[in-house]
Amino acid sequence: MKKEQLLDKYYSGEIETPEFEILREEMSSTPPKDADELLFNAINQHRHLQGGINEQELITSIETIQFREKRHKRIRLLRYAASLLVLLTVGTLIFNPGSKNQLSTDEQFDIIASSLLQVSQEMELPEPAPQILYEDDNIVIYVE
Amino acid sequence: MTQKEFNIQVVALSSRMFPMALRLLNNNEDARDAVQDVLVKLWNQRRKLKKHDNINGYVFLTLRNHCLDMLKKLRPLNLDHTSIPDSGHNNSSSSKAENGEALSIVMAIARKLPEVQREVFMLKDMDGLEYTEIAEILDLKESHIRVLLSRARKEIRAKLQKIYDYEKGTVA
Repeated sequence: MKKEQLLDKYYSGEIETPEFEILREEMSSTPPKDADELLFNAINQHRHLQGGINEQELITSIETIQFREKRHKRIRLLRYAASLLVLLTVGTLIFNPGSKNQLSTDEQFDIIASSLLQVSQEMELPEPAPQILYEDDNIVIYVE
Repeated sequence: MTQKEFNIQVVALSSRMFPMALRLLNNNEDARDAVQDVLVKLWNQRRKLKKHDNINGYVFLTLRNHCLDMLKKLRPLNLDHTSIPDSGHNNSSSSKAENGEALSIVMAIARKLPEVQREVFMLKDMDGLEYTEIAEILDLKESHIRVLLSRARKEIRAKLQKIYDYEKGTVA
């Protein structure tokens, strides 16, 4: 496509990027010979402002951030794990499930006492019936 | 989004991001910082970014907003959110252009355009953004962008022609 046609497309807003790039190349003569070239000269000047942006530096800085993020994540996880461990230990000590079944000393004493009483009662021999020697309305004489 | 994907889709745009940041901030260091800050911000938003249907547009939109925020902080009392570097070359002339100052002349002309026309021209021709990216930034339809762009280009050309003719002595 001729330069004039591309310029027409440019000014009518119909130009696409690949055509624009071709036109930009063609209009890059220095010094500019007309208003069109002056305009493209300005565009080229602006496009060449790269300002020392180094893509690799940016990638490195992103990688550094990613590394820090991972490290922070790992440290956070370790902190959570340590906190959980401490909580579990304390919980085990305070709310030990075994201690619920253990009785206090008084309760243990009561149980032992009642058991002993029961045992002693069971071991107690029945009293032998007394042998009555004499009995009336006023007096009873017996021997054991 | 993995780091590799991020590098390919986002970091690769840095060379296109810089001229835009520079145009808005008018300072090399600030522009470089802005690009880096925006990339870090986008990296932190990478999950959200991956789902975006116009990643490039979103990247440039984020950069533009970041630069405008920086301008607010730098110049809270004198905010021109479509800042164009004022290099002090408003006395336009083709002789200056021949000395490599065509950019200053065009910027001075563009500054006088209606705001949306100026912004569209800057984003498309100066910053080299695609129509879809500009549509995302300015929330306009592509067809509308083309119309605005056409008007801006014609206006700038007409003014450049006047300057050129005057310098060449073809206009009294």
